[in-house]
Amino acid sequence: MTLKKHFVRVFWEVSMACGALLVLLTVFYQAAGTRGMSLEGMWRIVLLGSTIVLRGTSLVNFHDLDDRAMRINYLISSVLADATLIVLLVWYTPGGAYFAGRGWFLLAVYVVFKGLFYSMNYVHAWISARDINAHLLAMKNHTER
Amino acid sequence: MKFRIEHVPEDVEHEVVIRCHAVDDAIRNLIGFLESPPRTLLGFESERLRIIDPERVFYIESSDNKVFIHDDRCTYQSMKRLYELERDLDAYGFLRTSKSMVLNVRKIESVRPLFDGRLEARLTNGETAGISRTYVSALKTKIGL
Repeated sequence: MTLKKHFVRVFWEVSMACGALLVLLTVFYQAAGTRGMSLEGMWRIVLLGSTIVLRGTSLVNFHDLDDRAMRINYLISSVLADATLIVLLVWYTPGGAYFAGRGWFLLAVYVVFKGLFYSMNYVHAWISARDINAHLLAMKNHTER
Repeated sequence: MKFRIEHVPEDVEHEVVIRCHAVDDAIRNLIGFLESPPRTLLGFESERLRIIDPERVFYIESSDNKVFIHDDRCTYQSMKRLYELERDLDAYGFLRTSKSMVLNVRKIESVRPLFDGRLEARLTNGETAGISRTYVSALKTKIGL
């Protein structure tokens, strides 16, 4: 499967997630007796649905994508998931505008946490690789003897 | 682990004696391998059905709903599903390393960490294969770590 087809599928998954959230919100509004929904509310649904689906898409291994396509998918999906979450928090969350004025601070926090996440992943993988390589070498030496 | 081979006369049945401290997973795998009937793999190469020696296979991958077996000579298309081959070849040192790949652990030369926490296995034929984070612990268990 090509990346274009993959992202078309992701688009329809985002649409389905937004639809499901709309149904849930409609039931909630009905129960709460709310009579109308604002444009902001609709955007919140779209952004929340996009964030959930794109984050999931970045973490899932798609068997029909090759290794290179998987890396591109991870990069695009995770950046879009973060971007939609930031837009949701800054523009469509009460108090978000206050933090928006501190953009550099938010960016720094984002970079630090993202860096920590990747560092932890890499260190964990590095330790695993070291142990596995040592064991493979020992097995190889043993077989040669 | 020491190995000792004693030659017996033709009229004496083959016998395997395992002397160990405890029956752990490695010993169980060994018993499973000895007890399992010899299996051969079948795959199509240029519309001809071929018999494939599992020992020569490097990895098996699925792509576009087709399953391909890669050995040291060429690539064959299998009639079986990936999970069936994973189950059948477990005793031969094959292990699921991602959603779309089953790898012959005995063909791994070394592994190296990737930035997203996955491992990349370098095979004895020079090819590389990704190992998802989910399957790293299974790989460690498989090689006796």
